[in-house]
Amino acid sequence: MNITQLLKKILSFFFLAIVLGATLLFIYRRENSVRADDSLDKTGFHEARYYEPLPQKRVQCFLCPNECTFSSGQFGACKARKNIDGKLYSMVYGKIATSHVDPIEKKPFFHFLPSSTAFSIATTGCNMHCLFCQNWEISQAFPEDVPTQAATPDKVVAQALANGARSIAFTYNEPVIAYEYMLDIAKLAKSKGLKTVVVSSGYIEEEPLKELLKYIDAYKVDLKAFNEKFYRKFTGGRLASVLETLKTIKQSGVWLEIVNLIVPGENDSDDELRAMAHWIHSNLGDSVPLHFSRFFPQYKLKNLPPTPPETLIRARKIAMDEGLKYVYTGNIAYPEGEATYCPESKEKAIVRQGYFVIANHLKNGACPDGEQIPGVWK
Amino acid sequence: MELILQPLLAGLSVGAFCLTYCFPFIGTFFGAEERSPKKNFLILLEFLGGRLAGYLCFGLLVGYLGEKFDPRWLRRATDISFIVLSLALFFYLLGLVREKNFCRPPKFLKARSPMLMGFFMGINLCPPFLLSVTYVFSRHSALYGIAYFALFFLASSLYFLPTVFVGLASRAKEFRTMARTSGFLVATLFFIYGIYSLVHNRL
Repeated sequence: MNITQLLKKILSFFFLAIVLGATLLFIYRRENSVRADDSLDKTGFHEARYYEPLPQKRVQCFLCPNECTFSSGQFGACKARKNIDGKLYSMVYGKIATSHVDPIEKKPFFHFLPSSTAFSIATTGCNMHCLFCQNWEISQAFPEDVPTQAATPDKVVAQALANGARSIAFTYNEPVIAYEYMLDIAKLAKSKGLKTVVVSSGYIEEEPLKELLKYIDAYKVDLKAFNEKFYRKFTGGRLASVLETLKTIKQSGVWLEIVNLIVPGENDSDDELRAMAHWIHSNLGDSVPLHFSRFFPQYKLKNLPPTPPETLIRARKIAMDEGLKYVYTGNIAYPEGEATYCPESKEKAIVRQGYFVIANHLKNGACPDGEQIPGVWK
Repeated sequence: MELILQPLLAGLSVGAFCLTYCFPFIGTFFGAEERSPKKNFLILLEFLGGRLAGYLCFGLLVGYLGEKFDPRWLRRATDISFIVLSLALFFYLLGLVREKNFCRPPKFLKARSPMLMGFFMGINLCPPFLLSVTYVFSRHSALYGIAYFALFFLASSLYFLPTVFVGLASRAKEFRTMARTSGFLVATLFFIYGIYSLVHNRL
């Protein structure tokens, strides 16, 4: 056999391999797609949970405290759930608006698998309408307003594993409005040994929250202020509901961290900060990490100045004076406010710079002197 | 502007996947017979014409029906299209190897195989194609559906142009034999899969 003949044979077999490979790939992908479609009904959308049908094809949603009632063809306030012919559907199930691999510290979680990465995903929509939202392009959009990527729960989990992430974070927009999708991903992730974290405003009804908490490893709640007036004026939500959420999460044993974005002149008074810290201490204990975050003017609050760094430092001091052990500052360069301290020895346990861990002296959550710091460390 | 850019970008971004799914058919077709590059190019145009017709039918239906459209109907149509596609390929290949025998396929089927295959590939619910469907749903316009899929087709077709060069390799007898063998295998696989999927269709 000469070289030319050999090359012809190699080329022929190569062709056969490509053709058969493409055929099998097609069949495999389609079967996956068909299996994913099985969760959809005849509309091609995923039916939502936690709603009740009303007369004249109206429905009422009980996922979040908004408890929207809407006619056929209407979306809920979240722009993610729609009444189609008397049934409520999730219009964002399987539609990812953005995904990134982030350091877990960016969420921020400071007591949860430090220096690990989280495969972070978002859909569109939100059940609040914060005037200072930093992700308003997706959070205030309808599903068809922005390009989305189709991703079944299997695909999300596979991508998280392929990226070496230790957790999947439901973040950027409010994940609760994609409740069914988040729940399916969390169940699957758990079975594959991946952890899941929720970054939320905490605006959810108790029953769906309790169901969700069975599959979630950590929950970060944006406690946007400690006065109802602020919530009404800037967010469209209610403080009382968020406080109930915080208590439910704490009681469930799921790891909880709280963020408070301080908006200058609106939620930064000593009294309010002290009342917030006191409430957290009394209702959730002294070990729940509290992050004070710096506001930057954006979306509909461009008229306000950024929060002065001194305000965040003052807030941290007030919260610590109220007995909270782990209080942090974010969005400012303040090393003291970024580090975790061993409460007794006052030694630095974890040193951070921005989203990155510079040094970690903890061993399975224990300080060098043996003192245990609460959190999820492995 | 967005109305034009959206389908063009979608077509460009998933065109390579479209080619992957169509290659078992179109690649086999080019490799199974020795033809001039010009003839191969005309066949490609015929295939793409069929594919465009499939896309336009699909766009019209999806755009017109909007959210009333039941994707499960199309799943069944896709299963049937697998069976028809595999039969079209099978008869085409049979026509090559048994030109003078009694089971020679009808002339029309042999002559129009590329167009038929293009059409049935066009109405296939391949994963990249599905990405566009939801977007079209929301517009509730048959005209927009047609325009969207026409532009999607235009952009994704760019990836098909290099397949013409598969025809160059078909000058070698060994390659033609292998292309025909792979064609029979592909037709058999798709036929079995189409029947399986139709029977097990989760409707």
